[in-house]
Amino acid sequence: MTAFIIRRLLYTIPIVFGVLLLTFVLFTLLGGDISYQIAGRDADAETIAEIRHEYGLDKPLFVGLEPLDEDDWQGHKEAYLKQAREAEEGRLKESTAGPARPLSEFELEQEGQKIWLRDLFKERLGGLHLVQAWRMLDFDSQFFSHFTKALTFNFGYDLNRELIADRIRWGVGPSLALTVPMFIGTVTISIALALVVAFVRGSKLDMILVVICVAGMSIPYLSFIIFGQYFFAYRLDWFPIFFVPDRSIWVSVALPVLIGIAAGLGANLRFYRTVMLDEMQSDYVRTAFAKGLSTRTVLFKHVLKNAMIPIITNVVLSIPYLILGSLLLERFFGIPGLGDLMIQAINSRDFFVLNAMTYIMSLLIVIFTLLTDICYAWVDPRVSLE
Amino acid sequence: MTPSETPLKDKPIIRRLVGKGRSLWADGLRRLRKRRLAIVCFWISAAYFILAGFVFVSEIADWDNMLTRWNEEIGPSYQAPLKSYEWQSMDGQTKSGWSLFGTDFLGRSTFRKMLYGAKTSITVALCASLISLLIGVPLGAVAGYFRGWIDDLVVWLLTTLNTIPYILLVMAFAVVLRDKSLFGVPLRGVTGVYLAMGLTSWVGIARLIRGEIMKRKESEYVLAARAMGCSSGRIIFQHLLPNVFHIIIINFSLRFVTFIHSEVILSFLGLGETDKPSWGAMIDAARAELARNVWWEMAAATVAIFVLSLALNLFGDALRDCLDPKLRTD
Amino acid sequence: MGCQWVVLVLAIATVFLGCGLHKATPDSDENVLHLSLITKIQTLDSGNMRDVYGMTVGGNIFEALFGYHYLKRPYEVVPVLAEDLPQISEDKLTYTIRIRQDVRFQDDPCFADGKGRQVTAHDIVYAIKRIANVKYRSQNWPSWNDRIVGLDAFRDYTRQFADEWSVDYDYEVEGFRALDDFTLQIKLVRPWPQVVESVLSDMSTAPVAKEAVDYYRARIPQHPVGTGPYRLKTWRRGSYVELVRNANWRGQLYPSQGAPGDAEAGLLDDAGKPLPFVDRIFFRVIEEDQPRWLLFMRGELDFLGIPKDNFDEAIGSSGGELTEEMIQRNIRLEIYIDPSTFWVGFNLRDPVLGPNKPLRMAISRAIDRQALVDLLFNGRFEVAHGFVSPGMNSYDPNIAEYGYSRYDPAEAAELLKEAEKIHGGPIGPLKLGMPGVDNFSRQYAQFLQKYMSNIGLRLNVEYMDWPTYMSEVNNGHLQLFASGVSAGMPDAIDFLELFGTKYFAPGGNKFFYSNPEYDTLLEQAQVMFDSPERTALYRRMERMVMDDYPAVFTTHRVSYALYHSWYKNYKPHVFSYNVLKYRRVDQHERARYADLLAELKKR
Repeated sequence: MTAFIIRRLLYTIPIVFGVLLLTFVLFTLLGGDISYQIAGRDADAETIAEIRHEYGLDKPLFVGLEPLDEDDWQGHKEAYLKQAREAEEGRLKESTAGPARPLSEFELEQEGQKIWLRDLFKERLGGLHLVQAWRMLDFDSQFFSHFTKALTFNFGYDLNRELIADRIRWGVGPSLALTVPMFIGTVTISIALALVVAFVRGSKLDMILVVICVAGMSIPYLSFIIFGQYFFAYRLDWFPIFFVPDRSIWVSVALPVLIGIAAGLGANLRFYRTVMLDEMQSDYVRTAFAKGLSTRTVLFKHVLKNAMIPIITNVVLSIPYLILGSLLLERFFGIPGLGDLMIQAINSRDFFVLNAMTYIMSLLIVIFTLLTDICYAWVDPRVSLE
Repeated sequence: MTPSETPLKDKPIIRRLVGKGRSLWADGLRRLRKRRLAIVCFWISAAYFILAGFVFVSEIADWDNMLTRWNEEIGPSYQAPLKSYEWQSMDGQTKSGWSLFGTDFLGRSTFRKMLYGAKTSITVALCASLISLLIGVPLGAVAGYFRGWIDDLVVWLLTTLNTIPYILLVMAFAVVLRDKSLFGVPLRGVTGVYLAMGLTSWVGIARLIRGEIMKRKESEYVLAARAMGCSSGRIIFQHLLPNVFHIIIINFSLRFVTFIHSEVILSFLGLGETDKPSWGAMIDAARAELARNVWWEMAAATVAIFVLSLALNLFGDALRDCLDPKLRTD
Repeated sequence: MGCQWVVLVLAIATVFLGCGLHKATPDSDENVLHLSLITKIQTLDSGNMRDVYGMTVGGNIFEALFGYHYLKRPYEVVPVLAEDLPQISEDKLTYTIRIRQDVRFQDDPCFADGKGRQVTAHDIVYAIKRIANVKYRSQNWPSWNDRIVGLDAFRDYTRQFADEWSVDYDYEVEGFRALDDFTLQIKLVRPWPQVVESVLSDMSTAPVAKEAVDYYRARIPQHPVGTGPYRLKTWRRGSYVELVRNANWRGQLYPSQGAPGDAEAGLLDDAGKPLPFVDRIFFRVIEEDQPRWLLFMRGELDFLGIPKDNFDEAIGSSGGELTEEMIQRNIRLEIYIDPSTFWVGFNLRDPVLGPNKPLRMAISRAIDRQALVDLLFNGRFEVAHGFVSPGMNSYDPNIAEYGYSRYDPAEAAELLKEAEKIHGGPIGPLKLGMPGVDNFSRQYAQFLQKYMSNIGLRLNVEYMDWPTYMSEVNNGHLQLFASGVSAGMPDAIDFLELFGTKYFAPGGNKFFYSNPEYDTLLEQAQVMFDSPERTALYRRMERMVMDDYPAVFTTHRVSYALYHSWYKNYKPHVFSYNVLKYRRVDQHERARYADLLAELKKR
């Protein structure tokens, strides 16, 4: 099991890499230039150039670090090393809190060209040596900073110069407050109903429930929201119409949660009903009933347990999306969550926010995929653990 | 068993024992015909598809009919259903008429727009479903059966794709495809939308199929097939996939409806069809019109979606019951 | 058995539901304004504030040198942070402004002891230099371009610095100096008659504390440090903004003079009382119309611009009168012109549209502007006959008579024939860019398609998000584009500049309209002070542009505002954002509203 988990953990590396690659392609290569967006209307060309510089959009796209030709840098070697040594001495003087780590990399400018020196000091001021100098044509490329930003979780500022990390932090709470109860409600209610329906399969009750499910699924989500808000919040005055920061968040999310459950129940119930029916038709269930086991035992001990694989797949993989919240619900009820952040980012084409969100989502999904596979193994020993 | 020997199941004695047997499909359809509701639902869904096909063909062949002239002004703005009226058309003549489902803000027929919308929605949903099935089913099956590096690769691909929020991918596609074309077909609006939907949603079906195949590949019938020397491809496509076919069907019918509903949400975000009528665009417009008591556009689109969803879902259910091999008791 | 399970789950759900139950009554013992914003605000940094919603909030935090009188009409410029109106030299080039000595910044941790310090002329000089700082990239720079002696040189000077914070602000700008701590001197390159009512009354020239900028740096947009009656307490972008009274504000009295009719309207009831009346202002960002409308109807918002689609519910088909339901709820209505103009512009660089005036005229004649207003704006906008909006000083009352806005499909068809001759063949589909993908943009475009197809012109529409649209328009990639502009002052010069060759995109002239004669007149007009001659010149220039049909000018906005009876001292003010300090809330009346609703429900 441990080996399995470790293997899966290592496996996250290519996935994270894939996501970063994909987001780079999406937001940088295909996304296009958003400096106009930041500049606002009537901005002049130089303002736009400034913006491109600040957000690094003027950097070359890919890595372009190029080793200098041997004779190209050998002639300058002494000059380079002198500069590096001076810099190191300066550093030593400045550092008051103990000796800093010896300088190993150094960047200097030579005739307007950036030069990058590597493997400089093995020990402080001793053994100074220079193996190769690199021309820093494009080292600081967009591709490179895309990866460093993500791996250090330093997403920088959004288009409004607000810290992206802050905005995500603020949004997580309200989003979870909305989606966790909604999710738990939908899953428990629909699994419970699915068990009932599976048991009374083919009866009138089953037919009616299926029709209600399908009918519920057939009503557009927007209609649920518009009607729910108008009727339960405004007409009946049972719930607040809109988010108020002074009140507890639970008060504000109550109605959206119920609407979410109502709107999601149909599809979920149908899904779980299908899963349960599959199991109900199995021979072992017939055997179990034939043995004279009680309905309760059969349903809970046998059917539910065996239906777990699809249920777990469905449940566990939905969890990361909880973070995202529900775009439309948040918008109509003013829940300041991540869904709202996403809509805003999409509307203003804030690729910095979208990129950060995508990356965080991907990490969560990676984690939850791992959990799913462990759960598979846990509930169904037939799934072998390589 | 040496390679030169005939496979067990081709031996005459085995053939005689097993008998000819009806195929899964023939048997399923025979049983399906007995269900009246399912047949009704089938014909309702078929009617939608025929309608969509009709609009599609009329557009290509440039037939002049009621639906290709959906843009025509048939009365004053926001005329309620089933009321006769007199109005002055744009060419200055006074005309009288009535409309079945009322008119929209430009005096166009809501009824025609609703019928035309079938084409938009079904094109989107059908193309997206097909793309997602064509990619998702084989990949999921292969990954679940072979595991190993193929599984790793597929899971890598689908995890990576799955982590890009759906709406975002659709938007990125719309942006990228805006001024491009494929074999002379411009990839604007709807085309971009269903490509994006299809290319993202195969992940779901692939995951399900993979899970099912993983569960079933240790079953007796697979072991038996393997013992009989069937190739892996044959086991997957002839033995395993038919056994998970009901899952594909259910998924298809559910997903089809989901796509139609997605179109509504995409229109809300301004990413859907813009030039031609679509149910999503109608609902989006009607959302704003409801406040001025213009309910017919919302009603027309909602009813159109509702009926199609209901029919497809019930038919999908019936089909499932009839095709599920485990239910064949006779 | 299973049923028991379901019952249990339902019971849990009911408990949850029960927790959510509440009685929503607005807090009556607190003196709060509840307002809404229809979209998130971008920034609260005075130097870079451009959007209406940012200014609606920021206007209460920052104060400029000058402003407009709250009640008097026509609008009258009054000093705010200045002691008095500026002294202007003979040659109209030098302005000397005395600054009040009792102005303090709000308390903020950026100051040495956390206490706001006194504001001096240097803070205003700093604010202007900051706008000129090229690294700061203020959106307000275009108004200052080539206006102030030495300011453009300062802008060039700032180019050499790595970022906006390392710029050396000691660099002297000859045209914008503090003569002493409380005297400001401005030297103009050439006369600028609108300097006081445009930039010096604009929030962007509010004093900025250098301490604040150095302290907050990149976070300054979230940490406004102003001098106004309110200060920012909390701001969650996309959710809400909360302002509270600024204890350091010098204080001011409610005006005791107003326009005729103000006394009768109760607008002078509070004359002479100290401002501000309200302790806390609470803005909620509500992007969807439905919740905004429902909140207002419930009395949880004090004030509301009527959403387009709730128009019929609020105002009967008669127009201008509230419905019975509104009257029963004591809701008040205010209708006012919000000077602005909307158009469908032509790209004159386009080889089809540019050289073909009959084509542009044909399109203009083909569009029924009144129908557009009726269908898309519930009949509440005004048809645009020219491009200068009513409500502005030089609005030409006879503009409608010149017939630029005429709807005449027959004439349009004739013109189109002529246009096809010039074009040398049938004119293919034209490409229109819409700055939005929403339902309104779609309807607008479909409307145009319908009316253009009526004369046999096909129109292809591309719906774009704002940044794409902006870059397409600026690069001249579109043939037609829908756009508009709102006035920031009663003077129409901003509107006239939209057609100057000097202001080609990315400036305001997105039409690429270029007329040497017009440019000469524009240069003349730009240095003229208000006079009948100037008004005549403005009107002549307007007609010059109209004669060339660079756009189909469609509408002017008319705003409809609803407010509750407890929202006192409301008078629409289209050029000033520094107005919430005048508002008063009658808390008893607000508290009674819940009872009123209950009573109405019973009936």
